[in-house]
Amino acid sequence: MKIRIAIITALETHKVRHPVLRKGRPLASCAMDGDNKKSTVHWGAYLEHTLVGVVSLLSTPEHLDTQPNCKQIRGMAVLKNYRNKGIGKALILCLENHAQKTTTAYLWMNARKRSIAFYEDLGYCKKGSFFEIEPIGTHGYLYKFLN
Amino acid sequence: MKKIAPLFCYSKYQRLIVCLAAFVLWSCHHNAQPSTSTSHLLGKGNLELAGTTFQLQKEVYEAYLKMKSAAEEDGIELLGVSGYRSFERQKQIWNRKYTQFTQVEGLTPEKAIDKIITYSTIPGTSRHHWGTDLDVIDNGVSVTGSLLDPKKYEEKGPFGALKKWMDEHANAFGFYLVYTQNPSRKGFYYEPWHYTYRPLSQPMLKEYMKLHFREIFKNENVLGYEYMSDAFIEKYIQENILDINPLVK
Repeated sequence: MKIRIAIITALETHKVRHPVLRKGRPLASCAMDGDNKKSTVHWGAYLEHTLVGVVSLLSTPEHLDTQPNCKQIRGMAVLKNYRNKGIGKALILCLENHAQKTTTAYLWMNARKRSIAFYEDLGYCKKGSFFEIEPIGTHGYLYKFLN
Repeated sequence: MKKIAPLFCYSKYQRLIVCLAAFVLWSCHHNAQPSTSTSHLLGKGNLELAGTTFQLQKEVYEAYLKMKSAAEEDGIELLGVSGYRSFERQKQIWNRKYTQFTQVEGLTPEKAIDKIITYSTIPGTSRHHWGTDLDVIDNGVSVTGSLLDPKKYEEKGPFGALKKWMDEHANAFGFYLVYTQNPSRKGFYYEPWHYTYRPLSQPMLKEYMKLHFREIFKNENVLGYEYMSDAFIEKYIQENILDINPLVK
């Protein structure tokens, strides 16, 4: 099974974001702040010609030029029937490879509680206590420095 | 077993040739790579590093662990997040930015260089190459957004308690702030997270100032080096490398 990762548009991410991250909610709820900014990059994972996973990398909104460059990982999703096949890992590695080549010093995200172990295996560190993001659920703050 | 004739058994000319050959071999090796101490200063290997998620020279890492334990006793979860960075990583960042700015955005080489040095160091000139400098956060508090943000280290910010603790205790463990909050200081912006281990970095800075940066940038193929004038390099040294906390010079 060959996974192919490609850069996609913000709108294309909705095909996967909707059933995974915004299930039962309007399609418009799939849009995220900063999705269409020039500095944002979206990746899609394809199996044959089917888009099965997505992830986005955004410049941190409050980031100033006087601070080391950091980026936020958002909207990571893999369709239910395609999990545990290394698709999520392939997406994150592709994103990190991109960040390594730019001046990004570190990555951060608010991850859902059940996915934290997945990220910890990839070298992300959890920081602080869990917190609620309504109406989605419990999240933890994760970060990883790219030395 | 065939006997090997000692050096004094050869003729005068043979001895001369052997000595010459030895000298040529030695000088080729000597010139092919920077000397060990120069490599240390440029992030080009040969440093003995310790640490897992981030790395520092062994002595620095041990001092960091002592400081970390002391902070923990005072209820501060001090955590180093970034230490050693290699020359190659910095060069990769630099060359990619330079190509982007000059070829895609159409900036002149001089303007591209000025733009890059607002955010990044020229390869070979980052203190993170030395394995003596680290960035610290407080891992015990919750935050959102960016971590290395000066506002977070202000008195009422999430890392305010860590900063206060460091102000009072870091020096006792050999660690000093490098890019201080002094409005008349030029060069890099205030970095309340960036500490250096003075017992090693102070002598390293002295050695560092003996290097010929223009030669290094040229030999290492740092893109745009031919557009860095002597005046530019001098200003970069005075402001970005030397305009730091006077206590670490």
